[in-house]
Amino acid sequence: MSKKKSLVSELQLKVGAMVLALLTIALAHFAYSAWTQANKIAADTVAQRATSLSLDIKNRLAEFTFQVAHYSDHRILAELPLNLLYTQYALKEMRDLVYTSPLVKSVMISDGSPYIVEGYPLYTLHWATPSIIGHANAVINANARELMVRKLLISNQELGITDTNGGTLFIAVPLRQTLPSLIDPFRYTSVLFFELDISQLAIELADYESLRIFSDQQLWFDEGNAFEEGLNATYPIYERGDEGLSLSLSLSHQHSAYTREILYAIIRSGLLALGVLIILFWYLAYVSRKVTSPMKQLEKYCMSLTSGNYQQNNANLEYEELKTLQKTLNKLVSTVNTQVTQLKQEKVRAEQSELAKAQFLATMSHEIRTPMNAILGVFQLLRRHNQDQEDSSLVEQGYTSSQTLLALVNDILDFSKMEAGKLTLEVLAVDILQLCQEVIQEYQHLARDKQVELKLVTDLKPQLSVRLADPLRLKQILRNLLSNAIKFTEQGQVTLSVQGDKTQLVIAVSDSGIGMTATQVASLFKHFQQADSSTTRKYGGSGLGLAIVKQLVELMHGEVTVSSITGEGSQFTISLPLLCTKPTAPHSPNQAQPQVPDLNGVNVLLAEDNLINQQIFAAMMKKTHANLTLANNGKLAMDCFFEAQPDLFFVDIQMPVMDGIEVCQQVRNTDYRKPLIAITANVLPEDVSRYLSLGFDDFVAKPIDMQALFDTITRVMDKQVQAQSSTTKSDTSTLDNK
Amino acid sequence: MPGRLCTTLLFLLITGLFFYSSLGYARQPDQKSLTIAIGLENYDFKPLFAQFTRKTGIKVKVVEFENNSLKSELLLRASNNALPDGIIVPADYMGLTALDLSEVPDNWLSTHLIEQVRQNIKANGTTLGVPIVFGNHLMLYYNRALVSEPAHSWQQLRTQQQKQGVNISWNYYEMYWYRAFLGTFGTSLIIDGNANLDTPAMVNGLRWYKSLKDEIWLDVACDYDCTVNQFLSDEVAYTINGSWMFQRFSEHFGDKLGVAQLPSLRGEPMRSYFSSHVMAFPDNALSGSKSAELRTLSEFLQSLPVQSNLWSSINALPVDKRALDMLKIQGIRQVEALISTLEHAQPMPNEAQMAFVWEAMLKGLTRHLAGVLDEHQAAHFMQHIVEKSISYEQEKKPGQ
Repeated sequence: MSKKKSLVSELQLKVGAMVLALLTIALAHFAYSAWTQANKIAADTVAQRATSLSLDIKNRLAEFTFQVAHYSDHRILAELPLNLLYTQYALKEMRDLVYTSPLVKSVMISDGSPYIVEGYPLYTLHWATPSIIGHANAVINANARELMVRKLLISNQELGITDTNGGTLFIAVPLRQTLPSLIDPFRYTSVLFFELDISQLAIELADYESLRIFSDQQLWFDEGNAFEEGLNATYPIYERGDEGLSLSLSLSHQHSAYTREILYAIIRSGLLALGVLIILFWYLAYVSRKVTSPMKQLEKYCMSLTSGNYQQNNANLEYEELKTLQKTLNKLVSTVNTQVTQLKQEKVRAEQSELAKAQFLATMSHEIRTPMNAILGVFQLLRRHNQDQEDSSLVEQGYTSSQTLLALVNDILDFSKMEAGKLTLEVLAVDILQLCQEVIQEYQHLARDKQVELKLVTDLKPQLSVRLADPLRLKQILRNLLSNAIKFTEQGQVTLSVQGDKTQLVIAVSDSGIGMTATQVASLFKHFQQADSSTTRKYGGSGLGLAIVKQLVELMHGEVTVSSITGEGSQFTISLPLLCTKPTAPHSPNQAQPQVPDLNGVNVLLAEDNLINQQIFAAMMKKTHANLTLANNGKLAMDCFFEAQPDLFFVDIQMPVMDGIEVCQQVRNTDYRKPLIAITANVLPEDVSRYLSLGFDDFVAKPIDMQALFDTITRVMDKQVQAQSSTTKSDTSTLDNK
Repeated sequence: MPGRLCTTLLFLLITGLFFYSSLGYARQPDQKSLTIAIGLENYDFKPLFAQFTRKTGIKVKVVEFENNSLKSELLLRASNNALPDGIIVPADYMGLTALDLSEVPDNWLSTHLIEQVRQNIKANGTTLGVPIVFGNHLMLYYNRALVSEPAHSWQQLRTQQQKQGVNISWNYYEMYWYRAFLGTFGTSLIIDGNANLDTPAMVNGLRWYKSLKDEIWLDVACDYDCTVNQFLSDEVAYTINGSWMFQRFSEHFGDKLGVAQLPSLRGEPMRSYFSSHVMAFPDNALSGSKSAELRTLSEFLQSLPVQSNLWSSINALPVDKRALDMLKIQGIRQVEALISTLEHAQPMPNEAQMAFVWEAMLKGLTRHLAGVLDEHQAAHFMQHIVEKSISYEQEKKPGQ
């Protein structure tokens, strides 16, 4: 499964990774170079610093030695070991030395005896140590002609200084007394020791420095923390021989002092690189937004295009590529709009054509129904006359043919309505078994004629028989299937089986007829198609039946299946989601024979422009014994109406001079409340609804089925009687009240 | 003509210059002057010198030194032939042979000198100075505003310190003061002309003196000036100082100044030296050109009017017996107190060794206080160096 990829995300990722890699490499290179260079500089610096410190110290000591060398001939100090009277003066001199010379920490005089002759501060009186005494005695005994100012590094341990390790450096100036002798001009009496304060040597150590000054036997000075892995340099201050003391210094620098800045620089660079990356990512995100935003806009626009909203996109896009895409889409939209306009025009034309077709069908239906009314009316009338068998057979064939023709016309109309999506279903409580029984009854005589056994087989329980369905259309389905089955069955039987549960109803029509091939089955339910053309020739038929069945079943959310074996028969199975319901008022079965209402004494007015239809209507109404008045158009009918208001008023819709609609309106403008019945060949439901809403009490469809006519008359008369009786009761009660 | 004119003008110019220079020389008065060195920690002799100058016209230039360095300065100047005409010093300075002090003829001395003074001014049987002031001993000064009754012993001092928080200060490292403490234990520093330092008394004195240093209530680091200032500023109630400070303290405190005997230790009184301040004449000055002026000054300082006014001028005791008697009968309380403090004082030896003894004691005490030497070693050390130094001095003499 491929992961969804975003162009912008991938761009961000790859550009970011590339920049990150480049920055990392550059940073590493910079770090390595800087580190190497810092180490080299550090080593040089330490060596230079050690040399510089060594020379500084040497210079300071030399300078100090030069400054104090003249004390060698200080008469008072030189005579002090011999003359007590100079004590105060010498003390003052020594105190002044300590106070005035920052480098001098203490001064003392030793004459080689176990006592310090004099010293300042007092602690120096403790320092009659072997080294001090030894040096003083050596100087006195040597009695050298040349002045021997020496440096002594004596351990603090020997001096009794316990708080610090290391040693104390003394400048030892021999004190000599001038003698009045050319042979022995001097006599060394003692040695003046200057304790040097190293802190005053102006050795300023940085916090990253560590300094040790030491002789080959003794440490003098140690300051600063020892650094592990520090940079070290050792440099001699005095070589043994020239000053009587071998003194060296060892300098150590903290390695991190040189690398710290490098490290900080690397960290700063890293942070800078991180900042650059953040800015880069922000910029990429910014650019991405600038790119993705119009892209999303275009995407949204494309989605609106898929919804059929073909508008031009006029967004102000920044990038040329997107502008090109926008232009291309706008061209596409323009093309699509052109095509849509053309298609709309085609659609309008098709709809107009469809409308024309529908209009044509309606007109044709009306036009066919009008003569059919005469034909069917004549045959209906003839069937009621007692005739010989031969005539009766001819009349019956004529009647059947006219019925077939009428059914064909109805099928055409229904199909037309279904195609236009104008067919709606009624939902009524229908007793399915009774309905099936009625349909079986309708086709029983046809099956008998072909000596085909027609039977209803069911195990549906009576309580599951009442369903919510459209009985008219359900009958239409069954009639089509049964008429087909009977039509294609020469012998044997046709079975209507009904099964189902509370929610589903399965109706199957099986026959032992000619059956169908698989190819023939595949082309079933198509308009105007039968199993093959020979079928039409042999069995006739419009080919609309099964197509109507399929349409109606689908309209009821059901399905129809076919199984057939050539030469053995076929089975059509309809599965319909019809819910069970409670039975309503018992339905009285239709009378086999039409019931003729007795209209003796009843004035009936018929407005009909067609003379044949007038005659047929008059012939049908003759048995009712009604007083029939005929009018050739609406205006004449209204004249008759105003002359003598009829008890029943039949009005044809399409008439010259004044049509039935206007007649209805004029009648309803009067106080006439007796039945007003429309007679029309316009039997589309919307037409019928419109007539009823205009004021007609009922209608009779053309061609007029005599039984339907009588039923209508009976129904409206019953309503009339009921209305009159209720009015009478009301009047009576009103009188009683009076 | 021009040549003659020029010659005449040159003659007049030379004659004028000679006359002017002769006149200027004649105008300069024949101003006689003397240079006198004195110690700072001493009486203020300036009023007397001013009086002398007014009376005789001889100007006296005063050179002041700290007492500690006065001796060394004089010795150093002696070696450089830069000594003053006269010095006013304690009588023990007369033992410094390096100063080449002139012997004072007897007829220079007043015939009314106190006998103690007359004895005190002789070094090795020779009179080397003209006495001026008598006393020069240490006393216990106290501030009456802080203590109503002075302590008579160190035990009382400690008690007062604990109860009243009063304190005492003295110039701890000065040997003149140490000698007063040492005097508590008896013995003499010089016996038969020889230094006598390695003694049990010295050991005891060193031990006690060092124990005082360890007492936290005593501020032994305070030097001379410090102790004076502490007392003047009421920081301490007591101070041990010399009679030469009486005038200054009296001027400062007035009636609030108290003077008492030095405190005793376990019943034994402290014994200060007393001596006289003398005017000596270094570098054989009396054989020099200023002998007359020096004699005039000597006579002036020994004269009865000056001696009689010593108390009123510088609060010092006179060396003239007549003047002292006159002072005693005046009934001045402070004078009586001053004289009473002489009760336990001892005359300071004025042998030549005394100068070495002072230095030897200083060195020994210093080393003992510094912990270098214990009290026995310190006493022994003192004796050792004083003998060594005297020996060197005696060796040097033949060569001089």
